[in-house]
Amino acid sequence: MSGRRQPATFFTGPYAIHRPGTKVLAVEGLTVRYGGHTALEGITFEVHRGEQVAIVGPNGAGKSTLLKAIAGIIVPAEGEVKVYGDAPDRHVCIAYVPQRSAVDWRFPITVADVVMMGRLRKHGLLRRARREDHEKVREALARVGMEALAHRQIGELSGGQQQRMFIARALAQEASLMLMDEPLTGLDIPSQEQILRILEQLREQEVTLLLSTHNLEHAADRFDRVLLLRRRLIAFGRAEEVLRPDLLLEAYGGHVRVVPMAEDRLLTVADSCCGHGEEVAR
Amino acid sequence: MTILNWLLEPLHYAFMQRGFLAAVMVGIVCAVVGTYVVLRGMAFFGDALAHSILPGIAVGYLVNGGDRGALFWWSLGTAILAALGIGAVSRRTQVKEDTAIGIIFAGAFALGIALISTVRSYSVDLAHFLFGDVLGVSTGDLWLTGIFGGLILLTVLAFYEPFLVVSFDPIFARTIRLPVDFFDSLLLVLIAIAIVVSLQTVGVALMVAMLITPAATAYLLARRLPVMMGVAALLASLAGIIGLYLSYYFSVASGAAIVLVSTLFFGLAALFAPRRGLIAEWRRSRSQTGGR
Repeated sequence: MSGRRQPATFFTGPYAIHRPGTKVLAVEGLTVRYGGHTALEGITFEVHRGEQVAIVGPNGAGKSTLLKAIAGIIVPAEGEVKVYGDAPDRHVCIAYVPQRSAVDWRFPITVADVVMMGRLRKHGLLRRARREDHEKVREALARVGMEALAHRQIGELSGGQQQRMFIARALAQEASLMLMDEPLTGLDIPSQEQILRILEQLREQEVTLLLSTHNLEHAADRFDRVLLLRRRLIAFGRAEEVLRPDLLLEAYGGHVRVVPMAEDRLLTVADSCCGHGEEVAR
Repeated sequence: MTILNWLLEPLHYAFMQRGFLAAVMVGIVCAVVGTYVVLRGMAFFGDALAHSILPGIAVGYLVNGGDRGALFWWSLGTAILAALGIGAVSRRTQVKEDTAIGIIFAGAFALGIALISTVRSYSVDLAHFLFGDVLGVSTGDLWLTGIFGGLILLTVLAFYEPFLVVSFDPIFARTIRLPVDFFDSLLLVLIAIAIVVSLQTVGVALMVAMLITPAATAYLLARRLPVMMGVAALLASLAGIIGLYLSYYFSVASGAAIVLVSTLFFGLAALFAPRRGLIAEWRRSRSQTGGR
């Protein structure tokens, strides 16, 4: 082999090495189809190391699909995704944080068990966790403020705690690219703030973050760049370049109302199909 | 003294000793594998798989006659084929997954009955395959059960974490590049082997109870997977032993007695389990609504 991968065996899998000078994430001409339905079409963009990007768009815009394609879980029909210059399914440095509804919360495992899953690739499939792994799990739980809940069964957690547990798993995984699918949806305001603060701390480690959200205000205030999606990429850039009435109208179609307000401020209210209201005050 | 006699008397018979040993080994193996069957919602798959083995047994029976050793290998081959076949069908099918499995397993089961019915001693033999005969277990059967059961337990232990991750969060498993399809198929094969080593004890018809009832009981009691496996294995062994005593003293069919004891355990846990029991739930809802 070319030497840019560690020797792959069945149980360790292929590991791509992060080549210097390559972009963390480069998506080019990405098209994804489910059966006859085109979920994403011709998506092209690049993300820098340590950047935090919000993905917004109406329901069914393809936000989850985009994150899954970047994670290498679904195979694109056309185009390609490169993570540090290699196909995503050669990497174990990508953490995908699922929507909370994606797992069975009655499963008999504790918070620490779930976070330990992030260490599986570090200690190997056939080896037991070592002291270092337990240490990393404890650190990860401390960083999301959940040390005291380590031995709770996961069904006993609140929504915000469930989400923080998944973030801890991604931290234990020592991921350099974190993909989060609507982590704030359905949480109360204090829980949302708590998670946004944890994400803010990721900047120190230069973890690159892509997060889908319905909350345009969060997207505008808390993220470096915003990606506006509706099957195609409508716009990608800083919030003031992207969250413009004309572009929002294009993304949300008839479900958006643009109301001019005093002092050059603009109130945009969008209803997506499932009743989540989205608004931004600028 | 009398109780001791009552307990020891069956053990004077070699066939009862073998029966106890078989019931306990089969109970443990099925309970551990069954933990995943319960957690992944594969009860119907397990039932279907057990029934789908019948045509294989029938062919072996027609070819080799009553030779138990030969029947074991016929069952094993059929079970692994059926497990992977059903797995493949459920992945790509036009009708719903449970419908596809239902059609295949009923068809296979009918084929098995049709084949066995061509033999004159049809009803006796069929009853044996359907309901098992733990008291007819030979020393050779015990060895096969021990070896294959041990292999299953070793595999579950060796791949404990990958099985856990693949079962709990398959999407995460893919992002850390686990060979998810491999582990899914391996689990199907383990279930198939567990069914084959248990055939002699409970037969085809009651097999699903061995897989799911002790594991489901343990699910109500345990907070962590290793504990759930341990509790399930313990309950299954107990059910095997108590079931055989009942069978000995009250002349009840052994397989049915084991399953009934297991079911009783589940009923008790469903009522009295500290967190997930009905009574605990009732008290929680009362303390919430009743308030002060």
